[in-house]
Amino acid sequence: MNPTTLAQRPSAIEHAARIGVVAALSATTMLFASLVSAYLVRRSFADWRPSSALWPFPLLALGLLASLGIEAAARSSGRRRRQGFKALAWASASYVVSALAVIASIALGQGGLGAPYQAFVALLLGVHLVHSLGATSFAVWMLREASGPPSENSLLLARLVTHFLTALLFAIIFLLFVLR
Amino acid sequence: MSGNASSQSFLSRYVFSLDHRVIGLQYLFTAMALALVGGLLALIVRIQIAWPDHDFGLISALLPQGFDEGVMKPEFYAALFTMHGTIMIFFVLSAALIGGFGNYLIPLQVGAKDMAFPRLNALSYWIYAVSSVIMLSSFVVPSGPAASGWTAYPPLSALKGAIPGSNLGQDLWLVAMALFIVSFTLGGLNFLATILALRKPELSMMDLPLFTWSMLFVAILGLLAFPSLTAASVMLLLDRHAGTSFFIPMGLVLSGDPVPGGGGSPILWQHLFWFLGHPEVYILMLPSLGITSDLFTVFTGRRVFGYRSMVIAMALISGMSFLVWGHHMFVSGMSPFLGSAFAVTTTLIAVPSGVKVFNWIATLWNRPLQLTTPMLWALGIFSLFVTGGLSGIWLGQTQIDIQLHDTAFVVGHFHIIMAGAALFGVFAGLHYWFPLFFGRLMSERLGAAHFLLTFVFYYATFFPMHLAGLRGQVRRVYDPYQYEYLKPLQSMNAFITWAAVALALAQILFFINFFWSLKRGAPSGAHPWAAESLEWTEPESLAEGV
Amino acid sequence: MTEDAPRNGGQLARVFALLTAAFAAWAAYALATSSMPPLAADRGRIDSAIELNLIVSGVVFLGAHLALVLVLLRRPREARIPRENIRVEMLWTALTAAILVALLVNSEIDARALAGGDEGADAPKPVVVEVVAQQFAWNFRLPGEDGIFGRTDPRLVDQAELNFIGLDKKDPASEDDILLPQGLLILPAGREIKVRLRSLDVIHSFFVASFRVKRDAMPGLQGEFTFTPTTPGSFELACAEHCGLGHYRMRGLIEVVPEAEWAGKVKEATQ
Ligand SMILES: [Cu+2]
Repeated sequence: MNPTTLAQRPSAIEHAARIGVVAALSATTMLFASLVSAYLVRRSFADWRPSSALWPFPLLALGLLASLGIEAAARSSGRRRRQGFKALAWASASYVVSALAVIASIALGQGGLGAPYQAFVALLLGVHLVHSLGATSFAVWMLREASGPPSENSLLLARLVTHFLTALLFAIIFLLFVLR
Repeated sequence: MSGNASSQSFLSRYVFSLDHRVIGLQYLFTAMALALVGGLLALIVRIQIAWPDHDFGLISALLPQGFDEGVMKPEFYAALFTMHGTIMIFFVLSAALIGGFGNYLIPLQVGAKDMAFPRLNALSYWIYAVSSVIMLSSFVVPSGPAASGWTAYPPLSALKGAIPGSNLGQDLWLVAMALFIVSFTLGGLNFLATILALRKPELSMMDLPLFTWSMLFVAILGLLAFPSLTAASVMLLLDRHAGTSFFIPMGLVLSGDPVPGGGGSPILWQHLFWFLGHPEVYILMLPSLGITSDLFTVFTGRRVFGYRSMVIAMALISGMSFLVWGHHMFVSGMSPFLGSAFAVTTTLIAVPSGVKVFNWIATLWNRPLQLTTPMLWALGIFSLFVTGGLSGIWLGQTQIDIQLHDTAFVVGHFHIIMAGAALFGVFAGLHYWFPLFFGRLMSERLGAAHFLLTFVFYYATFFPMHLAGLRGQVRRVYDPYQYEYLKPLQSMNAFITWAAVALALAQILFFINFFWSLKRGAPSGAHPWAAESLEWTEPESLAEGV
Repeated sequence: MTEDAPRNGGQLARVFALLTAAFAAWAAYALATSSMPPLAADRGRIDSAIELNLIVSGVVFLGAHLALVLVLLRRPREARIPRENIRVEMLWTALTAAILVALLVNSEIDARALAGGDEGADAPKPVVVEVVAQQFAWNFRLPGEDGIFGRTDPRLVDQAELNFIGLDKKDPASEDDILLPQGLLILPAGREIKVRLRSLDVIHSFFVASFRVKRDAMPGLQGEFTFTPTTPGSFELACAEHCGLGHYRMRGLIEVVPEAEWAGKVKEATQ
């Protein structure tokens, strides 16, 4: 891209970035809508046996921590901002590891992924985990893109993506462990 | 851009370029190459249907795993129609119309310097290129390419023992499709951002060419519809490799042996697949409808009649395309209530389509037309859209669909409306924008000859399929004449195959014209057509003669 | 370029118009004289619906192509540009919608009539047939005297023993079940047939062109539909859903015999 065009119309580029992120989040929403509708259909079958052996609440806490981290970063500057970003990075990394651990324990546990409930837990968490990885990388890239402090727009988009993923996690956990 | 002959600059300028024009041409040339593959597969399929015991000789020597002493294996036949459908729908037509024309023209038509996210754009092309290679690589897999049809219905696609293609070939198919969707999603968000945010401030949405409008709707359809196939592909891969049973029901017996696991629902795949599949049909149609309207504007010298209602019609078609997917499943035993609901939406989507046809007639009526080659293709699309749209209304009525579902009638229908309109749209666009791409004109004489031959042989190939379908010829059969009642159709099938061969030969004219004009075509000047859209009127958008 | 481009009325236009007219005439003639396999069941509604659609779409098809031919052949002088006319647009939108709604209503009436069997109390009970599809054959079973199908279990499938559907021979209800030879179904003419359709492996589709009947056999589900064969004779059953490498040879035969001969023919076939 020609740098002068960027310089000429910064507001247009920012607008474009917002549209791009919202479009990507819409596609993600549709992906989860498809998975969730499959889940809702499957759970109405006679052989549906939800198990209570899984304990997902640490995952929720990590998601919340990620969201709180980026909020704290957005509202401050200097050292405290860096701490916020650190919290975001640590929470996201721990989330990925813990979700992987949950999936692995299901896959290696008795019955493996053969039981429909376990299969859906692994599926929904797994797809969310992949998106968290993508989103965190995006947020980090967004914030490092500009040398110097991140722009208002980058911060806004990074916050939007992080909160979206956290909200998605809440919805998934609600469906998988409360609604069942 | 100063000319620099070093090889590194060649790489960065034509291969790993971030320029939307280069990326658009990369899409076009890749799609053109894949069209040759998809077309060859179709010819082999047609020869097999007409003469099932045919000795394929040379072709069998090229693809030895598919033949047994020159005679085609039935599982290879299934692989051929699977790959033909997949390659043509996604990797040729979607890629050329959207990746090709979309990338090249959207920035020019909205007056932007480039796409909103050039790096994402290049990434989108390269993911498409990789997914094409993965898809093609399944031809060298010992068990052959995927063979469960482009719809990949499980359990056929889920159980490795169900058909040889459901081994590694099906995995490659699923991975390639998932990558294609990623590529398409990246492209889609780029299109949206470019059209909505980078449009020249003085250019209102209602001044945009209808092609750009069609790209806006295509991007939205892709973003919202494609994820459901991503979801389905992930679930099918897990069923195949991780022991889940999302789509595999309980208590199956495959060639005498019980299938472990189960409890899932094969119909769930059909819902997820067609939630993508039907919008995909409109993803292929809308660009052609947009191009046709724009060409009618240029070559009648008046703005297309009812521009505003054309936009509204496209919006309605796009919105309603999310509500019609169930009409592919009328005979699957779905509840009659659901069947009726889908019949209503399917039939009513013909209303905005009818509006487009009437507006086109009003545009053309009583005008001195310029019958340039692009205009000929646009008029061809008009004809195909009418013919294929009408047979679509037949199939949208549940009681008729009982008889015609999964017959040659359906094959004729969608080749005319979806494949035909999209293919003619590619030709219309290539002839029209060739001067913009390469600074030269294509030969009008060769172009007209190519059009007339293609028009005749396209109908000669696909129209009789309606008749075969009415007589009960089921589709995807390796040897129809196993059935006594289909034996009399052999001569009709042979006619169709000869027409298809002629159709293929006619395309040689196009390739001669294209490559000859690339080198020797008459210089077009900046403004070859009396067109007023920005890609022609803004001087910096003229190509420097590649 | 723009100046010497061929225009409507010129030679190219005449060739294109001639080809368009020839195609439209041929297509209309071919469809109007096209045939379907002779109807042999009580589902003539489908044939009537196709005829109705043929007429309606034939008029639109010929009209649109006539318009195309006229556009190509006429040589308008510098014509006046018609003004945008919202009322004309509304008119043809309403016209299209009205025709489509009429077709839909017709389709809905037909669909209901085709789905529901004779519900009248005095109507004789339908003949129930179980159809089990597998790669690449059709299995047919009649419930016998007791009217009850014996239990089946996929684990009991034994192809060597010719127990293709896994019939549990210990179940008393299975004793009088009649298993017809694979690929052959014998039905009485004039009686309503209720088919219970399922599949052992992948999706197949039960299609008898002469009966105007098609229904997918979904593994894991049982479908049910009815029809009444009206004409004695033998009719081919085709698999309409791609089901594997042998899809093309998944053929069955349905013999329709006068009702009086039916029991005898069935006995003959099972011996
Ligand atoms: Cu079959």
